[in-house]
Amino acid sequence: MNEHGIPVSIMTCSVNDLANRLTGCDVILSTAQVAFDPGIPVFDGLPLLTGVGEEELLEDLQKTIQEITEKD
Amino acid sequence: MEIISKVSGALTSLGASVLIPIFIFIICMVFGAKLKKSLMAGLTFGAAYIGLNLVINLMITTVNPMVTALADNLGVKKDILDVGWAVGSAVAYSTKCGVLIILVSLGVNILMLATKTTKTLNVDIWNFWNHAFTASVVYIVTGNLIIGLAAGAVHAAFCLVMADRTAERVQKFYKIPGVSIPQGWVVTSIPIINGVNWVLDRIPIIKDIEWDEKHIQEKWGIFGSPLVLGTTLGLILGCVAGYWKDIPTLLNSAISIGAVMMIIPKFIALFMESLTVVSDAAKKFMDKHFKGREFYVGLDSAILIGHPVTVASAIILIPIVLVVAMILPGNRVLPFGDLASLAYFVALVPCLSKGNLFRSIISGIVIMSIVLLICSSFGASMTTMAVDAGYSLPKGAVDITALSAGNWLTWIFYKIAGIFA
Repeated sequence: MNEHGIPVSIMTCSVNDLANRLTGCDVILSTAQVAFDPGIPVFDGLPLLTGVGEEELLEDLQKTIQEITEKD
Repeated sequence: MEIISKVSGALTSLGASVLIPIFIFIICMVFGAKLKKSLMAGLTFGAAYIGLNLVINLMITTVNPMVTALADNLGVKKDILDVGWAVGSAVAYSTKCGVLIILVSLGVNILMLATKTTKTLNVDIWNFWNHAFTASVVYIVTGNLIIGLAAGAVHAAFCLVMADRTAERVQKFYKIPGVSIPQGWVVTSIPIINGVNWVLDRIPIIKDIEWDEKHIQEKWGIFGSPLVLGTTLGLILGCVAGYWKDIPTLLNSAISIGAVMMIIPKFIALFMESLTVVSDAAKKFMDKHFKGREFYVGLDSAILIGHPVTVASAIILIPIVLVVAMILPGNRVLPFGDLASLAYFVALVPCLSKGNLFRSIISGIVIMSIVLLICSSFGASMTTMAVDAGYSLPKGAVDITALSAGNWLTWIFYKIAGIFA
């Protein structure tokens, strides 16, 4: 995100805790299945761990964040 | 033999917080990572390790008087405290065997990849602590460093083989292509789950029970927060231990425990930052030297625990495990630190039981009972490791263990070593 000049702040937590920590979040990037509907876009972060599909993920992520920023 | 022991003794006098960063730096450089990144990876590990130890001390000093009070007031004699996998892993890595295990396990992996006896590159380096624990437990019993490391190496190999065997089912069920799960504890749960399923499949009516997990997350999801869970446990444990007579101490202890449960994952995240450099470098190394070979990326079972059935089971099992611990004959362990992590213990159940919540809970009860008895059998082993590694446990403290270390493979090595020692 730094490369594209988009300011983001990152909050980390475990997937069990996710439902309790959503305040102020716009996008979720998760390495495990999110078992409920959080009402905001969820991205599968596995490509970041395996390296497979990493670039597509980052592109999609960047596009979505850009859309959200422009809406505000 | 003597020389190895002397060298290793000299190295370990440096302490894990200096030694492991050095090893991490070396491994990163060997795999071709840049100098700056390798240095940062090493330093971050060391810093995270030292930070984690601060929190461990807080946990033990807060919980220890509670456990003693529990024994005094209720005659509940649980003389081994489960401190959780975070503490357990820090301890396992601090022993003579532990500091060397990352090298040994990676070595085994590369060897097995080169000989085509595995398809998995295990980049889940933090979880090598399970191999370290096996090695350390055997070392305690035999006093022989090489045999200890050999046990750890066998554990590592076992993980890779089991990961390969379950890879396709796991990939299909959780929709995670190219991944396998060689996690040191979870691979031992596979035969247990299969066994439970085999038995349940043969009982009429029971074999068809299915429960709905959707409401559990909504109603009880707040216990997914380590802070809430820790503080609640602190309050319950405190009251049962007699602190209700002393409210300030009760409240302070409760929030201290909540704080510990919340802070520990933050430090673990730092460890992960450091180890990501190692695993990224290892993956690039694989691509370069084993070009064209199909391989699985071996990851932590943490990526599986978001499944709704697992999430629901993890919450439901918390009170169940506490009750089981109290009534199970032969159990000496008070479940505590790993109550927040029960999801890991049932991580593979949905995959092997077609996503059935009822089966997850039954498997969970069987699994945790076995784990509790295994940890009881390990007795003071982890305490010995901690003391050897230089942790200062308060005088007259209870012994420690971690439920995550309760796997039967380690236990078998422990017993075999006991016969020969």
